[in-house]
Formats: sequence, structure tokens, C-alpha cells
Amino acid sequence: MNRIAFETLFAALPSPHNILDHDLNFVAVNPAYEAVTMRSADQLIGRNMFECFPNEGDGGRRLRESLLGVLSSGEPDTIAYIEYEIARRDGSMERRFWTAVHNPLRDAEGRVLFVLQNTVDITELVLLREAASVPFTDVPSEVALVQRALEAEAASETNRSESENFRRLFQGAPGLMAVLQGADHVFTFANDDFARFVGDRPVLGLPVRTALPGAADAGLFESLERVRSSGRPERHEALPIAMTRAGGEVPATVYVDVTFSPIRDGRGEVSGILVQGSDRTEAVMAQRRERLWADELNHRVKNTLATVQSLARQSFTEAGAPPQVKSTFEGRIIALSKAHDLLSESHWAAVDLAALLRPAEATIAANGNPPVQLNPKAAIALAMLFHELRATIPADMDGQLLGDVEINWSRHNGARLKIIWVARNLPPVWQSERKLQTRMLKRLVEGELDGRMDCDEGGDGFTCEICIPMREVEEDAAAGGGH
Amino acid sequence: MQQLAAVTETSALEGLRVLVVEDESLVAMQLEDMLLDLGCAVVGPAMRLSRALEMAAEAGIDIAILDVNLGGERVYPVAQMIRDRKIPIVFATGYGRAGVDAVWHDCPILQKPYTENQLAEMMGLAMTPRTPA
Repeated sequence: MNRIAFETLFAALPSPHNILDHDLNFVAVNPAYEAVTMRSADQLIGRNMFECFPNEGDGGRRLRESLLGVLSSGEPDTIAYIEYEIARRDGSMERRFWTAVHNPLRDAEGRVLFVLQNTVDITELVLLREAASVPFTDVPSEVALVQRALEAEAASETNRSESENFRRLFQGAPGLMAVLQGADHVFTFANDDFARFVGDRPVLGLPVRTALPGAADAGLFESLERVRSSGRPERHEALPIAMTRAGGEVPATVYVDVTFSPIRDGRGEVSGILVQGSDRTEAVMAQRRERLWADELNHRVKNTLATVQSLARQSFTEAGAPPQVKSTFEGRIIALSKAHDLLSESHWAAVDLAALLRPAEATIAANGNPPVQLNPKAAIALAMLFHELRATIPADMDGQLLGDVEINWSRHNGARLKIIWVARNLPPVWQSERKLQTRMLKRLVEGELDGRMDCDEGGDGFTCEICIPMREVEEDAAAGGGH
Repeated sequence: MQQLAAVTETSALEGLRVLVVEDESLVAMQLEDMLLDLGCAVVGPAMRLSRALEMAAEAGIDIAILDVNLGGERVYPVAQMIRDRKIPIVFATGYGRAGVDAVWHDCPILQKPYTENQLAEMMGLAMTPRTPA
């Protein structure tokens, strides 16, 4: 066997090592130690450890005692858990936790010349342990091993078993539940529903970005950062996330309602985040299907109206009806179709009364008329009513009504809706050709809407006064309408 | 509203050869009648996509009126061929504007049901050369 180059071996050790003399000055450091302390060998060798890493606190005292003890007694010593801040490159201090193993290095005569220190940065593990303050903490087994060692330093077994009970309780609870710890948001707990939701992939011990890369586009990681830094919970509704489910190969979009709540440690600092959520995929998909279905139905209705229009047109032509019959019929079909448009835009909820007016009429009616929300039944009835009224008023090519038209409405004691159409100074063609077709109007107002209509025709125009009980008109009545 | 006068200058539409693509017989029949009333010559109607594609490639036409949905197929390949021939297009659909892909929104869109006047108006709009903004 080749003679081992001990320097090479020392340099190759993956775990951080250093060698100190009796003055606690660095004699040697390996690259792993350089990396973890963020210092180069040049900055360390020949200098005192406590000059390089000052620590006036308990951690510094325990470390110094252990090192000096090894040098004087020649017996190895281990510090399982020590808190020791180190300076970042930018000068700010970072709180870190370490395990330190101290071994004496002797010369041929057995005299202790140096102490070999092996330090392991266990900050992540300690933060995981802090998560044990959360009742439902679960940790990977390798972490658990170290955790037991740490607990030997201080912890109480009672807390641990209580924690186990809580953990079991939440494990099977319905709804998505997980706990993230540390700056990288490492999963330390995920209940059964959560595991199923993410397709039974391993998440425990993994940072959220590694475990759920599909959540990147949804902005969840940014949200977690905000919760961690602000300490305020955030909630997201029906959030789309690309996720490969169990058995699936291609990521599918799933939807979640999710809340991130900060978890605070004993000092009140945010140490982790509680994730609570519910899978809304089914509900969102159902809503989409319903929407598509409604759009399709609306389209069908339009085509059906066009078909009816066509049938009527053929029938009128075959019967030699005058062209005006055709245009009157068409006008009515189109009015019905437009009312239908308004209702489908509002998803058959409510339509503003003013929306039933043509733009030219809306200008006339703009002043002082209160907003009135119509249920679908009233919207269709009033759309047809307005159409019949306007159809009797001559208009020019652009749809401007010829004559003085006034349209006003008001609520009477909140119980009745009163609408008044007045048309004056209509051109002579009105007097000779058009009269109000009151039969249809009366049927709409008095039959369908349980209201009252008074029309006064004469001279160069007409006045039409319509009074309808509010209960027949407003949105709430929708439940009873349309049947 | 009264039909006091013919709305658009229908004379501008007289003699136009109009390709009609519409998959519902009755709606197609009515469109034909309206076009004849306006003095146009009807080419088609094509009621299937395959036939519409043939006509769009070869027929001598001045303007096309296209139903968007042809038995579940979209009319856009037909529209593309017609646009490539620099022939104006009017879309007709039960969905209205929302039923036409945004890339075609510069074409006039007729919402079914429509009147002869609305048809004439949209055809007039399609035939008017657009001035660059």
C-alpha cells in the first residue's frame, strides 16, 4: 500500500477539521472547514481561534474549556450542541449551531502537542428540532438520530410524546396540512391528505422548491418568503399549480385554497410556516364545465332564434305578407335576443334597468333615475316592453328617435317601480301608421309582472305609465321567476 | 324602429358575388334571401368545411360571410384562404364578438339573429377600404 500522504488525507476529509496548538492558534485547517467558516486558510493559520471567531457568551466559554481540557488532560471531549455565531462575508452575524469533537494529537513521547477539532454545522437540524415545538412535527430518520443526541443535552421526553400524540392527530385529519421550517422552507411534516395531494412523492426533509417545483409559477414561494419576513399569514384561493399526480406522467393543473400561517419559536421569531389547504380542483373544473355549458347553450339559443326568424321570413314571403310584417317580427326577435345577451353576460343574475335602453335612449334617461337591478324574468319582459314602445316611435337611419322622448323611472316607497315613457312631437308618419299595440304590453305588465299600465295616445305622441310591484322586479325574486 | 329608408347604401352592394358559409339550412336560406333582396349574387352556400375550402380557393367572389362553427369545426382555415386572396370577410356567429378569435376582430362580426339592415351595414363596413390609422 502506498504511504498515505496525511496532508492529502486531511485535505480530502469531507467534514470540517482544524488543528490548534496550546495557544489555540490555528496550525492547519482543511478545505471543508474553510468552506463552512467562510474563511480561507491564509486568514486563519497562525491566528487565535477566538480572535477569528469571537464569542463572549456561553458558547465561547464552553468551547474554550473543552479545548483547554483536552490539551491538559489528553482526553478527548465532545460538545454535542453549541450555539456559535459566525460573521458572514458582508459582516453581518449568522446564528449557527455546531457539534464539536476534540481529540488530542500526541508526539512520540505521548505529550499532547495539538488538539484536532472536528466541527459539524448542524444548524438545519437544530432548526428542525425547533420545529418540535410545533405539536405535529415529523422528521426524517437521520435527523431523528441527531435529534435524540441533542435532546440528551436538554430536552424533555414529555414534550416529545405529547408531540407524537398531536402528530398522529393531524396526520389523519382531513384537509391538506404541512409544516415548513427554516429559510429554505423544508418540509418537516405533511399529513396523509397532503401526501396524497402531491402524488405520494417524498417531501419530508426537502425544501419546498425541490419538493414542489410546479408551485413556482403560482407565486407560492414568494408568498412563503413574505410570511416568513412579515410574520403575517397569507391566503390564496383557487390557485392553479402544475403537479404530477400519482400514476400520472404529465403535470396537470390542480387548484388549491391555501393559507400560510407563521409558526413562532420561544423567542417569538418566525421559525416555520404552517400550511393548511384544501384541494379545489374538482370544484373549479365543475365551475368551468358549467360555464362552457352555459356558453354553448346561449349559442344554441341564438342559432335557434335565427332559425325561427328564417322560418317566419319564409312563411311571410310565401303568404305574400307586406315587408313591414317581416321587419316588425324581426325587430321583436332581435329585442329578445339582446335581452338574452344581457342576461348571459350577467350569468342570469341581475340586469340593470338602464342597460335595456338603446344608447340614444340612455342619454335621455340619464338624469336622476335610480339604479334598479332586474331579475331575469322582469328583464326579458321589460326589454320586450321597451322594444314595443320604441318601435312605435319613428327613427332615422342611425336609430335616433324622431321626436321628443322622455324616459323616467322611480321607486315608490320602495314597494313599486314606476316607469314613464313620454313621446311628443312625433312626425306625421306616426299618426297615420303606428299605434301602440297595447294588447301585448298589457299582457307583459299586468299579466306577467302583476303591474298596472296606463297609456294615453293622442295628438302628436303618447304617454305610457307603468307601475310594477318591486317584488316582481328585483333580483331576489329571481328564484321564483322564469317558471 | 321603423324601416323608413333602406339603411346602408344598398346600391353599393348590388351585384356583389357573396360566398355564404353556414351549416344550418334555415339560417343559410334566410341569409340567401337577404342577400338576394340586397341585389347580391349568392355563391354557395357551403355547409361543410371541405366544400367551403374548395370554394374559398377557386370561386369568383367579392366578399364572404362566414359562420364560425361548422358542425364542430372552425371556419378559420377558410377565412385564411379568403384573406390571402385579399377578399373582405364578415363573420356571423351566435356567440357575437366573443365567439370569434381575437386575430379576426378587425373583420365585422354579425351576431345571430340579425336583420337585413344589420347584414347590409356589416357588408358595407367590410367593403370599405380601411384607411391606415
